Amino acid sequence: MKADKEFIRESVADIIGCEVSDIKDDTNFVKELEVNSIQMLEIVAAVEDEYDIEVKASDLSKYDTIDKIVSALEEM
Amino acid sequence: MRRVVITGIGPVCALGSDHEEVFTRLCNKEQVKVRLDKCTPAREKIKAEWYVPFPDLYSDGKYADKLAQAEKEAAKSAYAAAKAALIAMDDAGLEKADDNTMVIVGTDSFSMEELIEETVKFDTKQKMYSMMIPYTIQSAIASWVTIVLDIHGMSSVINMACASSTTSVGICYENILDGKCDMAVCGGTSYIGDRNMTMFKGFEYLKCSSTNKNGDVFPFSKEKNGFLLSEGAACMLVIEELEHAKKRGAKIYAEITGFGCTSDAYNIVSMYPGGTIVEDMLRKLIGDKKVDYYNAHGTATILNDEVEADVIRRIFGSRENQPAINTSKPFLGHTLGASGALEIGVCADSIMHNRVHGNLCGTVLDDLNYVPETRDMQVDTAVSASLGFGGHNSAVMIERYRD
Repeated sequence: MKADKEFIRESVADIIGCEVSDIKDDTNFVKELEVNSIQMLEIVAAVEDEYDIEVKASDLSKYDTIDKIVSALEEM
Repeated sequence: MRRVVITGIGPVCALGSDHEEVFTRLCNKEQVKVRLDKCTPAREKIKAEWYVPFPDLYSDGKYADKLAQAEKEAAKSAYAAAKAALIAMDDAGLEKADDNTMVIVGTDSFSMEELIEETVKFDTKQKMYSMMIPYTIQSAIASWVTIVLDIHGMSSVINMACASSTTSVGICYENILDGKCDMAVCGGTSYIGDRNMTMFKGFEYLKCSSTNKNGDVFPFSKEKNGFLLSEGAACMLVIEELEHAKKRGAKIYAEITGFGCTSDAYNIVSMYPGGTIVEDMLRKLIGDKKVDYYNAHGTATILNDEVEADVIRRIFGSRENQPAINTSKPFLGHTLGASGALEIGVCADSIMHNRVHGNLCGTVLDDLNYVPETRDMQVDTAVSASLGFGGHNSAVMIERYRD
């Protein structure tokens, strides 16, 4: 599945309330941007809606950087 | 000292409207579920395949006279509560409750379906049902119970997510203990359907509901991935001060001997780390009593079950010292605001029959006295726990009634 990295970055910035430029490809949302558990669910929901996929609760940690989200989508 | 006993149990759920029937079917591990209708407009967005349907409460004609007005004017959640209250009164052998009987009904969401329909009608056609306010306000649920029972004590709705109806029973228990009244009709109701099953999708975003293709759920198991949703259900109980019940020759199912209620004050979804607030609540509730049976919140979610299992292990110790543990949600679905009262009814029947119903499960978590198959055993003391979103925790202790 082809992933639109900039769309994902903009979605994450919108949810966190930060600038797009604050989110590098390998910035960890939880450790570096203090994203909480609710915001992680929102980020995953945005990805699920855009790409019509289902992310398991046990896989949330695979979606905590832009790079990891893109990789996860490309593997699908 | 005043004592409080359960004398009437009125469930309305997919497994029936008679608590003995519901308990028997739970012991047979019956799961009533239907596939999500493929005509649902948003069907493709919802990953879940199955849910437990709202029971047909309108076509059996039972209590038709008493419910005639509610059938026309009440939202489904309110109608279900009113019907459950009438069933509980019948079960308690009561024609009429004391005039100052207290009514508290727990519930979860707003009357979503009705509210959405009226909002959309007003938005698109500038028309609405002229009685939309009494139709959709949550307090109407308690009002309808008082109207159909014709009683005038304090009445209210409690809104504490999945802990709503456990708390409603607990508050009524404390009010009877305090002498404010001798009887209460208490429990919970839930109806979350609408033409798109919007709430189902909402729970999916929260990673709470099972998307298993065959509708199985795996509480307290390594395979757990969420609960089976219920479209709606209700359960009301009649509880009474002991002397009041004895005086009228009531059948006593069990005695309520404790109530605990706390708030995590931590997160709007997740439980307090390690479940220590729940642990403190349960320790205070249980004291040094030996608990035979623990009806868990047991949602089969990653968020709940690991934490609840740890709390159980810390309080009771290793598997051989733990009470028998089960959860009624795999069969009833997660009935949210109605779940606690339904489960208190199950606890009372477990005590009456000395039986703990079996469960669905996969590979059960280590060191947990979980009950995969229905077990005949002495049940003198039971605890029913409900742990709701937003950190609402409550639990009720129920014991065999002894004179």
